[in-house]
Amino acid sequence: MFINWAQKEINLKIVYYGPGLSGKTTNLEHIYNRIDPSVRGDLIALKTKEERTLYFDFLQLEIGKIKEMRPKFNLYTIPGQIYYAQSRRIILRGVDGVVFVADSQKHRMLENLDSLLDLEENLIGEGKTLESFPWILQYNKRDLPMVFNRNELEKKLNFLKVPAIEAVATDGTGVVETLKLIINKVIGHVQQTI
Amino acid sequence: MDLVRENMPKSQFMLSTETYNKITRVLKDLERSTRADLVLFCESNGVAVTHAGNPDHLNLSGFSSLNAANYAATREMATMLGEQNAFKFLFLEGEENNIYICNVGFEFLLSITFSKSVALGMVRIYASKAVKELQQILEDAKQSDEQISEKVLDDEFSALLNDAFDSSFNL
Repeated sequence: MFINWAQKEINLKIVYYGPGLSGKTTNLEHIYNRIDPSVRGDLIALKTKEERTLYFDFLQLEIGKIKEMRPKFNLYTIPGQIYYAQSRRIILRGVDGVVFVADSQKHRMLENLDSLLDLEENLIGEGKTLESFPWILQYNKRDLPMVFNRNELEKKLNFLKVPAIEAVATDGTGVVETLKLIINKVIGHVQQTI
Repeated sequence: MDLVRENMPKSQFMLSTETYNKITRVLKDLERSTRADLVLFCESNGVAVTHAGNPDHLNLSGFSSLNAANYAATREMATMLGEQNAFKFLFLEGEENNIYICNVGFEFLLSITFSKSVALGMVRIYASKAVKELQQILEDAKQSDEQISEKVLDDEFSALLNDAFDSSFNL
């Protein structure tokens, strides 16, 4: 969090984490297309030539003027592929909240767990832990066949009982709700710490 | 673990209006002396703090996040090579525009965009002087700015934020 009193800005960083192809970029693209254009910046996407996230996507939202302050939410995605470990560590620096975008398909469960473990290790490197840090789960791709049901996903991934939302990011289902939930979690956490 | 923490930007940072004004003055001097198009002071996680010059054609928040990510990547490269510190600066040379990026401690970055008519050597000299001044300003502010504790993020703030969020998405 960065508070600039001269500009009356509160900057908060939210990172969309998760395995490759789980739908992190699709979340940001939907937010970009759905939100009032006057409150958002450009969507910056650093992609490989195969259209996969190379480094990160970035989107800034400035949601209203509240009690004379301008809250700005800086949304980032990480590159999910295993070999971009260093990039993930960089993007996670200074993070205030995480949306973990899990792929609901049965054959992707191992990747979900690996990515969650990677998140935990990187948070520890930041001096934070999953237990004490504001994060939520998004069970994405609910429209696909061969997916785990909600209870199975809760058992396998949500061992800390964080808030979770089901989503189909490709058609926008659950995307805005996810953003609203993480924003509330982050603000609630900040209220306790300052 | 302590060593790692010391080499990382803090996760919470507050900047007073007084400190902001002092920093902006240094940037304006730097802009004048180097004839730069844009002098940007940003937090090392990518938040644009203040600037001098004309950023009208730029998405400043995006530009700032790219500056920070670029610099963070070179810092990692330095670590991989066994360098004790980050590279002293990052220089990007274009057909018309050049960018010079350097760190101001661990928490902040200075990015100077200038045209090809300006000599890099001159930018380096004035940037180095500005970095020292900025470090002193930040050092002086360390105690005072952290003690600002206006309770803005109360329950009323959360309720109003939720209303603003809904209206941003036409909910």
